[in-house]
Amino acid sequence: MGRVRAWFQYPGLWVPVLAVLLGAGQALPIHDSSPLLQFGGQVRQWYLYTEDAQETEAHLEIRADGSVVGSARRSPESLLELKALKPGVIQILGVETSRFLCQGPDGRLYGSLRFDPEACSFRELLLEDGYSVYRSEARGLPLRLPSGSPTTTTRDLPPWGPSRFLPLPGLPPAPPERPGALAPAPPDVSSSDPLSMVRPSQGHSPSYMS
Amino acid sequence: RAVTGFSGDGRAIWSKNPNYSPVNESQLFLYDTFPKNFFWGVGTGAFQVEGNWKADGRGPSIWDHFTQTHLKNVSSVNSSSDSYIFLEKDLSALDFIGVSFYQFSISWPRLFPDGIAAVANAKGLQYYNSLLDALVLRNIEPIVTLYHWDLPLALQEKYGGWKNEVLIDIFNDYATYCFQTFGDRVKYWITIHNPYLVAWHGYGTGMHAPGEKGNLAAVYAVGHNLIKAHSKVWHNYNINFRPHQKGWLSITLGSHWIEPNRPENTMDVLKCQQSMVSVLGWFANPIHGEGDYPELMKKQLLSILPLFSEAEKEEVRGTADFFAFSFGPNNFKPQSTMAKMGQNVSLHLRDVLNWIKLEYGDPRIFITENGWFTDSHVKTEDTTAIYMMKNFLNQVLQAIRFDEIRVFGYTAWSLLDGFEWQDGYTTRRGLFYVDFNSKQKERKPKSSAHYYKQIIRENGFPLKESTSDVRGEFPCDFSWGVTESVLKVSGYLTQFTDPHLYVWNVTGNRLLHQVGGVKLKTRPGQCTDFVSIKRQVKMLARMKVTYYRFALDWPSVLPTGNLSTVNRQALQYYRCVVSEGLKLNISPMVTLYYPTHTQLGLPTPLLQSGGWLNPSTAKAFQDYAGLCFQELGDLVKLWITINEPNRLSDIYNRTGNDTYRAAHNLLIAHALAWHLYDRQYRQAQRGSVSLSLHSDWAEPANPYAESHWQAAERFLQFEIAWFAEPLFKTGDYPLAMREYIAFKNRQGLSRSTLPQFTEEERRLVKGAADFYALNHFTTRFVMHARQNGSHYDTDRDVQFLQDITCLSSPTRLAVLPWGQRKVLSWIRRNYGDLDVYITANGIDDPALENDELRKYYLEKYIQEARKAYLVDKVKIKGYYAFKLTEEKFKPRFGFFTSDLKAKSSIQFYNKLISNGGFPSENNSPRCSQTQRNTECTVCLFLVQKKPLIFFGCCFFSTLVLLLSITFFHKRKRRKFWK
Repeated sequence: MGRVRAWFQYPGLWVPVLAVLLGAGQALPIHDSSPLLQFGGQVRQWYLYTEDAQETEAHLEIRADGSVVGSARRSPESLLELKALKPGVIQILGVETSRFLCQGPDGRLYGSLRFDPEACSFRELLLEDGYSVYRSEARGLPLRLPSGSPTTTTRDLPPWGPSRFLPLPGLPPAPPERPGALAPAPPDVSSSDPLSMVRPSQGHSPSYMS
Repeated sequence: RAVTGFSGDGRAIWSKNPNYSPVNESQLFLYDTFPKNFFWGVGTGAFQVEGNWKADGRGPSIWDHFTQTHLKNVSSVNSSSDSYIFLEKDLSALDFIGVSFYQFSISWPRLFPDGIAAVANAKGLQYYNSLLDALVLRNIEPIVTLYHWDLPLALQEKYGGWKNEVLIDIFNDYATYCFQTFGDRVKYWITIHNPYLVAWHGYGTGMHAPGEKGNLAAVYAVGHNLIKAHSKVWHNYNINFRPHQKGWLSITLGSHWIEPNRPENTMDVLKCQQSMVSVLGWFANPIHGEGDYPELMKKQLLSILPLFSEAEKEEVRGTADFFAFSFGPNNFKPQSTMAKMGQNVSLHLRDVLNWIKLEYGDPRIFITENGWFTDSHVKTEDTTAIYMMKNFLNQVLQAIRFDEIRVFGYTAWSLLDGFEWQDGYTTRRGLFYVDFNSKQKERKPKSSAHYYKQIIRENGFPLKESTSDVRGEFPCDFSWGVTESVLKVSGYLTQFTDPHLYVWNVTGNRLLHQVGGVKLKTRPGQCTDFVSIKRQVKMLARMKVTYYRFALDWPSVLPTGNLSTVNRQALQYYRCVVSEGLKLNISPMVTLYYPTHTQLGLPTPLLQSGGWLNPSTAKAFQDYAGLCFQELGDLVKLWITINEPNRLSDIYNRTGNDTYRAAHNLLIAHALAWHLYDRQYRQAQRGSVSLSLHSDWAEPANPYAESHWQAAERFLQFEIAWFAEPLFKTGDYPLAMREYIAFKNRQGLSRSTLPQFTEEERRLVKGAADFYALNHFTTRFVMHARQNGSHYDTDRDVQFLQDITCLSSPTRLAVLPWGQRKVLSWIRRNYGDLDVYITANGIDDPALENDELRKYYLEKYIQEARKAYLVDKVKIKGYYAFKLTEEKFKPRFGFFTSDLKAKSSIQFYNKLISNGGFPSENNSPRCSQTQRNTECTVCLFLVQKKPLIFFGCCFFSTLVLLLSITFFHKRKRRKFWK
């Protein structure tokens, strides 16, 4: 007990700890990678997997038209980039379509090309069984997939699907394309020089390139 | 006949080979000959070249009608090459090239004006008879096409052309007549030329005669009839004529080629297959395949596609004695009507041949049309056509040699310029130029005719010179080096010279604060304290080079541009680089000034006062050079004042006069520095000084054009002689350069003038270099191109051509090793027997680890340097590979990556060095280390293995101690027991 009291008697000891905590809270967003974070940086690529009582399996998928659906199979469109904005709060970006996952006031999900902090940040709550629940940071509504087949959507309120998601790790991002290994441009077959052999000038020296 | 290929097998072409290597023999230009008795020829289409459609009772064809109604801007088909009149001229053109066959087509309406094979038009018959007789006389095999698109107009008007099944029998009658009449002299028959274009453009897009469009059902009905007409004629020939005429018959099928956007994407690959199948497969599957249309086509077109009955399939299948294939521009245009399926068109003839092999069971292939076109203004200098032909033909050769594809003949298209269908006379495809407006229609051989003639004579591309016949190596004192660009001064020795103590970030501002009243003990700075130098020396040690060429950073040494402020620390840094290298027996070659595109490398005040346009910069450079000689000259024996001053033309390029003025000042600057060295330092330091010139070789793009030879020499005069001539020869700019600029002035095309050397300057410059240093990277193919404008680039009147058949790097540097030998000989020829250093030679290779392109490049270029040394007696003293490291996001020229990872070419270069430039494996190292390190091998061993020896001593003494303790202890015990 004495030791605990001693901690409080010297508030100066708390300064650095608080500074770190506050600093972390203010940093928004955190950089994609940092030498301090040895294990792959802050950006994670996941599939958000979910299932409901009828044992229909679904992966959250952001389509190019902005719609958000559950798809039984993993696809490039269901690969999501989860990035921390601040502790416990994340943004979710569809890798293929470059759309942010956002939630309207009525709880409907949509993919937006623009990041709107109010609609598109989610608080991530980890459950004991490894599943997570995501709530809209501003609205408090849970992230849910619109459930089921198109026939059921005729009702007024969309029937909500499950809200518990299991993040499954995505594939590691492909290594960056090597410069020069790109496929050459297709020939211009309407030209008498389809392979662009004749060039006006190419005086550059490799010495001058560095 | 058994068909082993299966529809769909061709898809394998698009799957990428994971073991692809840019320098694999099967990917490089192949120096080899075609099989013995390979069939070489040229082709023409009757309607394109014969002209004279109304003459001598010829009937009109659908193309005569179409030209008049649809191609209004085409003056008249009568203005064609008039082959009908000038038969003799065609024959001498054939003689000129030396072909083994001539492929021509018979004009159906010339034989039968209304299309019905009844009584032949006597004049027409006589023409073809005399053509055939003349060919037989000349031992030129005739290859005759029965139908090259010129359907008698009467058949079109009466029956609706090929839409009507009646045409099948009418065509068969015409064919029968031809077999009867000409079959004694003709062994190779082609029924129809490119039926795809007949159906697609004639009835689909309306771009060809008869110009009908839009009705897809008609398109496929026409295709269907063409296939049946062909098969009927084949059976006719097979039964009635082959037994005694012993010839072969096929149908020419044309195609484009296509490559997937994303080779790993199966959907894209499927689309490519679909694209090929819907053009080539449409006709090839029934005839060369299973007797029916491809499944992919049937699925897509459903009821539009006519059906073959089982009997018809059996009838159609296998009705070709070889695969006659056409690959040319007509199948590629217009792009809007091509079945591209969103993929990329390609000109890879080799891949198409492979596709045919896989799809149709390795047939014997006869290429009955290949080539490209030039624009109509191009007369006899058709340079691009040469390279297109070289490219196509080498791919055919590769297909034969590496892929074992049975190509037995090649038709260059075409013999003559002529009517190019929907393009009228706006493009030309002939090997011979014809002026359509002239009376006599002389056939003038184009460059491509000369080139094709040469290929036929040599039966391909035989290697002219054996590469491995030169014995001997570079001498042991040859300097093997590596080049690096400007070394930025990094890290100062302040931490060891400043005695103050600091604390950091006291107030949270992240700054250092000096603690007053405290003084620390310092020790003198040492070279080993520079971490960056340690890293460099380590890399150099791995390279096993004997010389290291690097450049100083002028602004770092003299921030103000004059000697008032000298950055001693920078000088100390460079001195450390030199001395640390010398400890490992790596001698320095120091470049004083090394400009680049991103950094002109001048101290700011000099830059502001005009840079090299200001004559006083030369004086400032002399001061800077003097300082460097003074500070580093005791250790440095090889100096390069300026790296590639001739390339500063890319930077001072506002006007030609700017470029020439800057060059003038650069020359003076170099000469001043050289004279300073000569006067003050040479006695004591015994080094030598020169400047590095960017010296790429220039080869005429078109060796058959005199103007290209002149342009290549002119390019060398403007590039190299511009600096070399004043220094090594006359003290003045090359006469050729002066005269050409004056000539351009007179023509009113340029206002540039070269500066004049004063008598004093002339004396200063002449002879002001101790050796010739060249940076050589590649060889350029140069064309003459008249240009307007007062710029250095336009004053030269040159244009460049990239030889697409040649291996090249991502920055389009062509790997042409013989060019290096040629430039070395050129230098020796022009400037005498100088000492020569190759101060930079290298290539960018995209590979980060296994840089095979670089290895290939090094091997070949060093081999050529060796030949220049041993055979041409060029006094090469050193070779410096370019370069040690590379920067991020820049072309990858380095032996080490931007994060200093070693590439595998380092080991390769090691081996070349230890073998004196000889690439063979079994050569034992000749110049053993003993020669260099005779002084003290033991010392070297001690120095190198210091930690091991120390550890060994410790270990040994501890062991001795322990043993002795045990020993004593035992003896004591024994005593005790006693």
